[in-house]
Amino acid sequence: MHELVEKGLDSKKDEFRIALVGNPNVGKSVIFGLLTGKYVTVSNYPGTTVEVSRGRYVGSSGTVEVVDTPGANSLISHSEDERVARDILLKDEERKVVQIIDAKNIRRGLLITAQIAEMGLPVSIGLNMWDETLDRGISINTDKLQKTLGVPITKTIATQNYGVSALKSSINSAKIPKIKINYGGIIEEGIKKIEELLPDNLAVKRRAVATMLLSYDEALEETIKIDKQSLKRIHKIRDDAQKRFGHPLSYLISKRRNDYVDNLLEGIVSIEKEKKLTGVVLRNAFFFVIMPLFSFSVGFKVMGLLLFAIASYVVASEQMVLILKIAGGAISVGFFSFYLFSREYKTNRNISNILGSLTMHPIIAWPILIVVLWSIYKVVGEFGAGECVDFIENKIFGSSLERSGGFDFKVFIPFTRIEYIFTHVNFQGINYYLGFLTQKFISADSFFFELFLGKDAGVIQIGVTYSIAIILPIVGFFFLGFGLMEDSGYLPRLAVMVNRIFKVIGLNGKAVLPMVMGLGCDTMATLTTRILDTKKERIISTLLLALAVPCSAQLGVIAGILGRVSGLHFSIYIFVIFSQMLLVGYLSSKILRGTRSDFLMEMPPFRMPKISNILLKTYYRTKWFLKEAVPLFVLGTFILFILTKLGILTYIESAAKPVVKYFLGLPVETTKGFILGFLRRDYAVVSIFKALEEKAGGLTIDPNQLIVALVVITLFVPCLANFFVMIKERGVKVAFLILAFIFPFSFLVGGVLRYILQLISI
Amino acid sequence: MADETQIEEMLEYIWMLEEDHGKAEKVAMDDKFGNEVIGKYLGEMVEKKLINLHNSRIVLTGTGKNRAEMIIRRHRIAERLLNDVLEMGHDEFEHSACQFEHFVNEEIVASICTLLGHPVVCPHGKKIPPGDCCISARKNLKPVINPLSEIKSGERAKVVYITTRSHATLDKLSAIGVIPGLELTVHQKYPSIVIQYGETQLALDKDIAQDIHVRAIRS
Repeated sequence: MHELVEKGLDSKKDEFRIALVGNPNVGKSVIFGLLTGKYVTVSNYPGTTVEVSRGRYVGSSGTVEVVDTPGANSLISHSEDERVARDILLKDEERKVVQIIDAKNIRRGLLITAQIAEMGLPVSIGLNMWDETLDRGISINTDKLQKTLGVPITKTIATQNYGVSALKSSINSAKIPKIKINYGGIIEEGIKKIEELLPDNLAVKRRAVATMLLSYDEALEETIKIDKQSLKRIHKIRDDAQKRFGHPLSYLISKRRNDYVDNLLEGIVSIEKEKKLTGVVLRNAFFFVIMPLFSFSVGFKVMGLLLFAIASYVVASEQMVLILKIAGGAISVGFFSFYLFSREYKTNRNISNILGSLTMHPIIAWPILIVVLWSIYKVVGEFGAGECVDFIENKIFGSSLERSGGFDFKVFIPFTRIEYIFTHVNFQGINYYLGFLTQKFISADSFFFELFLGKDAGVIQIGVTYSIAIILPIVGFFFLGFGLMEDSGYLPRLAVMVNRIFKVIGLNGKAVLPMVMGLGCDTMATLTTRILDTKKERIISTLLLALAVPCSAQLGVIAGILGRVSGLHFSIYIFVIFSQMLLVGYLSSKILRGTRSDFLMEMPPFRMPKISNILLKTYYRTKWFLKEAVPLFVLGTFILFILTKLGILTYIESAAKPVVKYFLGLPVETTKGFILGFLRRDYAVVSIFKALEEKAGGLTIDPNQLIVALVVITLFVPCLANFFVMIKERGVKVAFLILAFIFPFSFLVGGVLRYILQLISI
Repeated sequence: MADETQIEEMLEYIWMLEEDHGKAEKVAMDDKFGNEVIGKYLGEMVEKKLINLHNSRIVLTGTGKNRAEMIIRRHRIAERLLNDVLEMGHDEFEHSACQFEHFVNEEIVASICTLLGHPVVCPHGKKIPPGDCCISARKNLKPVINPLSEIKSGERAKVVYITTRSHATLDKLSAIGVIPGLELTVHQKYPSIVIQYGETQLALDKDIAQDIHVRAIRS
């Protein structure tokens, strides 16, 4: 199935192929980018790469094709992404391996080197993150290591493009590492017996395959073709050997490798006591200025949000609110400072280390999380979805029939009311000019004018304008924030925080990665569910993504609308969505067969993110999103246009009346929004909101109606692109079952919510 | 059933009633063992000065209590052994532990207890009454083997053995270098356990941490 994602390149002309392998989060993708000039997503957490990327460069001896693989800690597969890496090495096309090792975790890297050596593949090693290794006071005698292993070793700092060209030229002299591990009598005997049963056409040494088969690697049995009889005998040999031990064979084999690597590193790696410390000035600034200020604003903000949520019940005077907020800030400063000074001030830890600990501290991490979410909301929901969308929609695109009136080109200083207007830009909007030009040829009432520039469902006026005006700023800003969370190392720390909650819904903390990713784009996130270990977890997370995780475009639009209702309604909305997520997750974890895997996840170090990488990543992701969403917007608008023109819309509206009007209590005009929901939910939100707005006339929209509509459309069926990816990843049957559940369920929740709201008459 | 075994079973049950409800009513004993058996043995137990009868309540004497604790201890230690080391399922170990408690002597229990690192709770989470070996282990401050989940945050420990039932978890642990002999620091315990070794920080479930048995390193 991975052929689908591998970019098909004509490989015949290539001189040879190299495969980039290594542990997760060691920088393979950065090096891939530097070698081939092709961008693949780079982040600071394990499991960013879930697909195989291929690229090429022209080397001294012709074109070289480079394959980037998902990180793996072992070549015995545990999850789908690890299997991908291993299967690539088992294909005979790959002639050379470039192994990237995180130098400060060299021990774990060499465990893989040992397995590559067993396969008999020539390797060149890049010891990456050399700077971090030095900073931590670890010294590695690379000359000695090079001699011991007999393979070229290059020190690299991939993010600074240091040593990458040396690594490139070392590929020519790649050798099979001189590693021979004796696994002990019984296992060796088993290996020998299995080797005899293996087919001749293997791309790697039989010993490696035999060892993997002994390790109960059943996915491997599909990859290499063994006839049934031999397989049966192999199983017998394996089971016989297993009976002689109390521990699983795979564990014994890997323990031997660990011991071997420990021996090998003796005298090569040494740790000096002197670590590079954060400078005195920065350090004191951190403890005495930055952290108190930060913690004050955390407490201030958390208290403010709390008051906002209960604002309609407690009417406090403005002074009182301010006093409470300041008190919140003071408590927070006290608590943070007490913790920092008692625990961290005297230790010699780096600031990034301290931040790494704080962001997963049992108590402190929660207010930090709230503030992080709040800032994302501020930037994406208010600035992105509010001002930017307004500006692009009304000023840049405008209306085909009316002048937008132009805008002021100005700068303003944040938090003050001071602004400087440079000039007034007399730009009336792209759509206006288009409409103006078109009207030279055809009248504004003609069919084609309406099809493209009509006010109600014009493909350009509505479809293109909405998709770009709404999606571009919201998605762009979200991915910017998301990139910051990824590259700093904050995202995986969230996994530590939410592990317990996620266990209730049959997942573990690791699933926070696809879930938060889903807040950006559910389609991308559905691909990322591959990092989860069991099938059950992958199905649950796919279901929850499709059901209860609104993507950034949708979220941005919703946030913009929710900004108009009270804090109470805002809280109700969030509560309903969360509770449905928990409920459905809980029930599906009980109903679905299969197991949940245990939570075991590596925490990457907290790092200063590289802005250029974040910008690049945001650019690629936004582009991806637009490519996927704009056609659907246009298609949706087109369908709506046809439905309106042919009068089918009225039929559908009257058919949907019992549900929409009587059950949900919404005006029938919102029906077309739900139709759009089948394509894209964000578009649906806009359409429903406009319908409610029109219905209300000049009056304010009934907040209860709004909340019900938003809840239904949030839970509504996934967008078409996501649905296709669901089919690809989970199969037709699962995808349709999920759809068949979500569709009625979303209406049910909306209806029940309506009656509850009526009962308690908020 | 031999008299002694029956008396042991009854002592054990009285002790457990006291543990759960704070007192042992005769009615509860009747429900469990039947009128006949109770009628036959209660008198004998009073005679042996194992219990006292206060109307409908049964109270263990000092001797009775000691004996009951020893039986409970044998039972729960056996559960630990069968569950942790021999990896038996719940129903199996429950049954075997019931038989086990009647034929092992105190010395064997002490050595199993030491082997298991003087466990304090049974697999069901109930307290195991400490034996002499546990008390002397505490006094002598000998390095004790504990599950990783019981190490305090900030302390260092060395992995002694891993007893997980899941092959996949064991494979994963060994692939990232968590094997016997590894020295690690417990970085934090809530909301999830995070350990640090070398330059690797690893977050893991309590379930896994319970299966990693470590020896605390005191500096």
